[in-house]
Amino acid sequence: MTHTRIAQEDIIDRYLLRGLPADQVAEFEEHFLECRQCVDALERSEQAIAAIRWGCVSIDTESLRYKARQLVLPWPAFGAAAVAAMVAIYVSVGRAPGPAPGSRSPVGSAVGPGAALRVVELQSMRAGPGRQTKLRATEASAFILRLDLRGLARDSFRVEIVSETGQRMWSQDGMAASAGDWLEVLVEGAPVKPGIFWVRLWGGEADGRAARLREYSLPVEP
Amino acid sequence: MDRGSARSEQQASADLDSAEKYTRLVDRILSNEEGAQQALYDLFGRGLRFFFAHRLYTQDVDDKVHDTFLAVITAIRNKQVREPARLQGYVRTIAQRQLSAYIAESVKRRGERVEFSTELPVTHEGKDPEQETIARQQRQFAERILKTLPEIDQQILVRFYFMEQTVDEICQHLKLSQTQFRLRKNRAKDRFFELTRKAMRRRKLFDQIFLRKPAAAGH
Repeated sequence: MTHTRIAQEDIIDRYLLRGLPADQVAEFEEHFLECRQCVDALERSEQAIAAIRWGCVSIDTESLRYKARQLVLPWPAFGAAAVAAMVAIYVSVGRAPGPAPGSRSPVGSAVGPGAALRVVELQSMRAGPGRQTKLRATEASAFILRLDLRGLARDSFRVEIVSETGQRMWSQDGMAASAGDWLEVLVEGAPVKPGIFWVRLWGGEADGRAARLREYSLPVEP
Repeated sequence: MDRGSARSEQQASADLDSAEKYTRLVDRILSNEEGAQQALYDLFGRGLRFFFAHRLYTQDVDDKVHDTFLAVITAIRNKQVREPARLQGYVRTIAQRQLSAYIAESVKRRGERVEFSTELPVTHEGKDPEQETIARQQRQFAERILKTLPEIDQQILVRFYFMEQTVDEICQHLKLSQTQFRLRKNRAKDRFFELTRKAMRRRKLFDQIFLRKPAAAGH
């Protein structure tokens, strides 16, 4: 692998952002194992991206148009567990675009348990705290997660809530109801208590495997 | 000779140099030559450290690097490295095995599936008031520096790294070609990094917050 190719194909950023196909990952890793120039560039870029994301936390991105999607159907690729958990999925009616972030009501005319629940909106990306609505422990028995999907083309998702140590506390599989920029999921029975949790968003790949797409921080206050 | 074939020849020549270098190094380790192990470490140490740090984001990075070197040296001495000229591929394979074994062991230990982040560093907020204050200052500082960049550069950085829009989306929105986007993005990122590092170093905050591997910095 040459440095010209690394520059032209933006391989440093794509590696850091997990956008390289597996064969190129192997090729690039073999290269940078002994390439100080590339390790320097990787370290610099990794730090720069973290810093950029910190700097973006308060940037107003809300001028963009928002639409919401909801997780409404089990996703067969994730197996039978999805079917068993389907009762916990928030059901929407209609495919209308959702309100702008900040709204307390979910998309469309909500039916089921979601109508009066706390909506926790998460806009965090893979690093940095992102922007999020905080959740109180007293509201955690059932709430609606509203996840920023902008830039993601997939329709099949898994949403997981994990503890700080990576322990999975809750998960849900499903299909997005319609195209939109936000995904809304009803979370019921997740054993969250005051502290920091992480919401992981997985998406289905063409080969049926799941790929982790984003991670959002979920602070739970006393 | 056109530029393409000249480049190919240069690459072929570089590959040959590397192959000879690896073969000589393996020979030196086999003959217990003084300094040969250190040479191996010097060659692959930093790369391996980044490899593990990027994949694991744990405190065990140095241990994993060390384990990998031990495994490689043992394999060389047992004459298990059949193609010394492909030593870097062998080192990566061993590192990959170390990584898989570590993950498998951790999963077993925790009794359930655990994901090891291959993501960029995630900073946890809310740990204690001092950390929160530092984090807040950091955000304000980074934001201020971001806003000193030209508007289009700000947009590129925010859209690509924070909002994770695709290159196509950004190029379409900002009316850039993909090459213009890549060059502009990388220049903006470097500029932002330099400005932030310079400013933060003055405040001694940058290393605390952004340099997530202080223990490895000396290697």
